Amino acid sequence: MAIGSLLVSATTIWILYGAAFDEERLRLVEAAQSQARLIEAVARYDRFHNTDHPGGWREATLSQVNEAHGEYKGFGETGEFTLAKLEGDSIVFVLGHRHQTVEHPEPVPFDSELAEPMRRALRGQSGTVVGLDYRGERVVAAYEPVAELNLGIVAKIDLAEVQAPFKKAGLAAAGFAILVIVAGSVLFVRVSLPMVVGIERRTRDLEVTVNALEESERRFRKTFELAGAGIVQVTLNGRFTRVNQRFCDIVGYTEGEMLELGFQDITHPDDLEDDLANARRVFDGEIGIFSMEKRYVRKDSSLVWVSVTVSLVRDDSGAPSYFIAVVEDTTQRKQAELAVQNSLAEKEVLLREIHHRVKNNMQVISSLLNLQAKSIEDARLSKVFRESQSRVRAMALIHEILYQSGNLGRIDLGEYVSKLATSLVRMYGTEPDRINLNIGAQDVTLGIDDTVPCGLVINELLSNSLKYAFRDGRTGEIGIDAAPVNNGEIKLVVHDDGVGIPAEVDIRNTDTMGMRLVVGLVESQLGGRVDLDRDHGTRFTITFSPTDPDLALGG
Amino acid sequence: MTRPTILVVEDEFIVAFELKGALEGMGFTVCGMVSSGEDAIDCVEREKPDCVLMDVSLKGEMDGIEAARHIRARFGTRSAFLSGYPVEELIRRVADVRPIGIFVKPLEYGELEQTLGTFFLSGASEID
Repeated sequence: MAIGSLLVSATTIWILYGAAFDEERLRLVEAAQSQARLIEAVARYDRFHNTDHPGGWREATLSQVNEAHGEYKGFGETGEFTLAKLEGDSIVFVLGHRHQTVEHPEPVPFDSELAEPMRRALRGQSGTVVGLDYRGERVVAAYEPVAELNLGIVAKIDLAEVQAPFKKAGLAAAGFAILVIVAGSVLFVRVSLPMVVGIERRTRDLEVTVNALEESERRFRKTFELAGAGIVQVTLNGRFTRVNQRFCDIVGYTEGEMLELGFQDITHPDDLEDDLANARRVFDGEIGIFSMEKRYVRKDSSLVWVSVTVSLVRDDSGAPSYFIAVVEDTTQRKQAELAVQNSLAEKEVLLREIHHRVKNNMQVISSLLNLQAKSIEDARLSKVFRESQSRVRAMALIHEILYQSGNLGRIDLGEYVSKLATSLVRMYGTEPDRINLNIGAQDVTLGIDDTVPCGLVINELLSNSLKYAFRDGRTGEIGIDAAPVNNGEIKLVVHDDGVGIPAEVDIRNTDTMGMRLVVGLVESQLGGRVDLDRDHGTRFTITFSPTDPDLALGG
Repeated sequence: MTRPTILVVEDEFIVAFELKGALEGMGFTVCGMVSSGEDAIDCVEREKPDCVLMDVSLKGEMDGIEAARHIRARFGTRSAFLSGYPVEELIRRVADVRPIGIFVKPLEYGELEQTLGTFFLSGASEID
């Protein structure tokens, strides 16, 4: 500001000086010319009228001029007129000088640097110049030839005098400017010092904060860089913008290579669709975060299984900004999992095979019993063999269903009963249109431990109905129903509307092998109850708790 | 009319033995009991049975379906299949051999007798 004002005042002074200088010059020209014309006029007069002067008319003129000059010292402090003629190689001044109190000033050699204005006047030139005068002083001068006398006249003033007021003004301005600068500075310091102190304090506070931030940033960066899991930042269109070392290790690329790629480039093609769909759902705000198992194709083309957890970073306005993914190498876990799965699949195959063989072996036993039965003449003994054969078949059917079904541990009771009934109806050669078979056992499944006794019980009861209930060629219905009851038990009902069991037969106290099996299997093996209702045909109701009741429903 | 002859191909001897008894009880002649596809082909060539009762799973390299395919191609003799596995899948696999029937073990002899009886009475055994 101070320098600015200084510059302005300097410029102002310079312009004023320029104007004053020009004016001074014009004044000098005017003076020189008027003096020259005046002297010429005097000379012309003397040439014609003062011819009797002792030194000639030229001397007469000069003496008049000299006389007039004696009366007039000059103008300003240093301004004066000089008049000179050329004599040989010297400029000879013909008037006394203001600055040299001699009658006849020293001549100046024409080819010297002194008396420049006069030299020009004596050459017959007219104009103004800044140059050295006879003293060697720098002057502003107007020069003019005086025609009649072959003289030159110069009106001059010292440059120093012309410049003096402006130098003074300049000095004053400079002094003032310095004063302003000093005062301004003092004022500035007074005003700004508290601010500076405040800024310094805040700067120190800021430094502390920045250091804390740097420390925090450093810790986070270390956490990021040294984390045991891969961590990446991904743009919304999938480019990697930050990846840590662990991630690079997982995928086998360098950090630089990763930053040239997007996650689409390294995700296994079969996993990409799911991945994109999940990212979309996070992007839409449907879910906040998602995890998935997927494969990356490593740089060396090998596959690596990873568990990826992805979340979305949003800006302050809630607009999606970028994704963060945490990536764990699960290859070993996956391999172990696959090994377990394979092993499980192998065992399942093996188990199926075993059920198949058990069933085949039972088939062989059934065949042996059948062969044996044929060779026996005794009808009662033969019947015993056939009953045994039927019981073996009832058991074989369980294994058959198991190795054919999707679930090796559970048996659908409805399916089993339906197959068993079909087999028994054929075995006893019952005409299909004479007896109506109704089986209702939907959504009841049993483990193998319950199915074997349960199957044998149904086999006995159904065989009884087929053998005895409709003996006289009558028609009727056999029903088998199984359903879970509310306390987790299963209620199994086998009934027919045939002739019925004679009242005198006590099912718990009979020699019949079948009945003894039924009661024994239900009460001892299944831990259940057997009820017999003889009101309309025969109705056996068996209630028991399945070994694994949680799975009794729905399979 | 002579009794129709049947070749039994079954790798479980006791089951085969029982089957033989049952078939004879139905009035058929069992001309052989073998346990592999290769033996079955030889036996058909030698005995020229009217039909073959073929178990699907057999001893040896060849399974019952393959053996039946060979037998039908070379001698025109048709087979009925016995299987311990679900019949649905089998129907698809044996469609090209035009089976007389498919029977799931344990066998129901009534059903077997009926199917075989129909087959022989219709004279279908002569056509191929």
